[in-house]
Amino acid sequence: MTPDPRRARLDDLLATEATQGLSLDEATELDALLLAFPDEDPDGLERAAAAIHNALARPEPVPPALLERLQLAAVAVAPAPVVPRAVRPRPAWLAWSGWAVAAGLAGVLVYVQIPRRPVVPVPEPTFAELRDALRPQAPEFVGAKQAATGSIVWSDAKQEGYMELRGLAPVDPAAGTYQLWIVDADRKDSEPVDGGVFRVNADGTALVKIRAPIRVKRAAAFAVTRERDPNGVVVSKVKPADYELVMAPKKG
Amino acid sequence: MAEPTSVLPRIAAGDPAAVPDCIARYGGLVWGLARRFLGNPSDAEDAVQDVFIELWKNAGRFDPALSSEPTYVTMIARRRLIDRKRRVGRAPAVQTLVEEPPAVPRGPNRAEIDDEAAKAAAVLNELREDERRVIVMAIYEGKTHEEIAAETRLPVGTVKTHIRRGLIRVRERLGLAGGAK
Repeated sequence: MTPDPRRARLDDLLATEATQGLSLDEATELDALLLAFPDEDPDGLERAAAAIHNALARPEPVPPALLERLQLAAVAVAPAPVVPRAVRPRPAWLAWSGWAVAAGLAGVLVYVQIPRRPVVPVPEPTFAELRDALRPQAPEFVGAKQAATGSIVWSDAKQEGYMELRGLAPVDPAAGTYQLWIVDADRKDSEPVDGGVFRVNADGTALVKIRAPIRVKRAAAFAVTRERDPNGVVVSKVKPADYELVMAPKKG
Repeated sequence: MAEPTSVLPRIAAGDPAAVPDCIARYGGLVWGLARRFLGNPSDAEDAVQDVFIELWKNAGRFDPALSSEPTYVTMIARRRLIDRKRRVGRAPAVQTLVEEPPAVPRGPNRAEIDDEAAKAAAVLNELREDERRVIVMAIYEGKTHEEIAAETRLPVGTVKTHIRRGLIRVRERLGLAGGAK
């Protein structure tokens, strides 16, 4: 049986990601291949690279100034208990007293030496937060077809956008994928621009960041198709009737 | 099941003593990695701080069933450093090696690192010299495929093949999940 060449390409991209990172196009391609091969561990080669590194590396003495900086950062970033372990319940004051002592020690450090670079931890914004931040300066596109509804906030100036969908049927990754298309009013060949492939959650929702591989000068509409090829990417000529959903500029 | 000495689960559980333990245990590992990848000490210090903040904030994501803690810490650090290099568009591996990397892991903290790293070292020792050299240049020295090709006079495709095969062999030896070949 002939090996699937896409599997070799998937390993190639994962190895590149683990050693020198990927371009935007490569990352998009990798996302599509991972959809096609859901059994693949996306982090496996990165872990292998880390193990190799640890086999070769020796820890180096940390400069004292960096140690102080890390200790101050530790106080500023009290981690939230993501995985609470209730093996031995402790009074809340006991848990926090440790942080209070650490904060006191940090205060002494601050008094003795003002940090060169103050640490201001900023949590990673969610796609919803990024979209809401973009909304005042970007038009919205909306659409509905049968049970499916969608909205997109897209900025031509920033080449940034976010799509939220509801009511779309989830697709088995082995059987196909959804693909977003961007209709650019200034594009001479009238071909829609590939907006990337994406998956829909089990509840029929999706909130995705749009990746346009080429510059979109004037987005006029967005369309979602369902592709039988799990890679999506290139679709045969689609007719409007084949669209799962079309999102046009919101009126009013 | 996490080893009793793992610090990330303790951080996730809110143990305040675990954070300084984390710095003490992995500070040298991450610092050495950042210095080698970025070269510039100031950039490396910024990167180390970023790595630790990410580790602390997402400590609960560490899954001891998938990898050892040192492997996980190094994976997060490498990911951050590679991303940082790509963001600034800087040529990687500006740090000149002052010595050949040791073939067998040694030095402080090795007891924490030995298990998975030793398996990786065993795989490296099984490779041909040219294959091993490419892996070391890509992973330890942080060189790009093109830089390795120029330095070794191997075609870029051969460099990529050596890297891919070496990583897959280590992944298999570690028992990490992967696709069917």
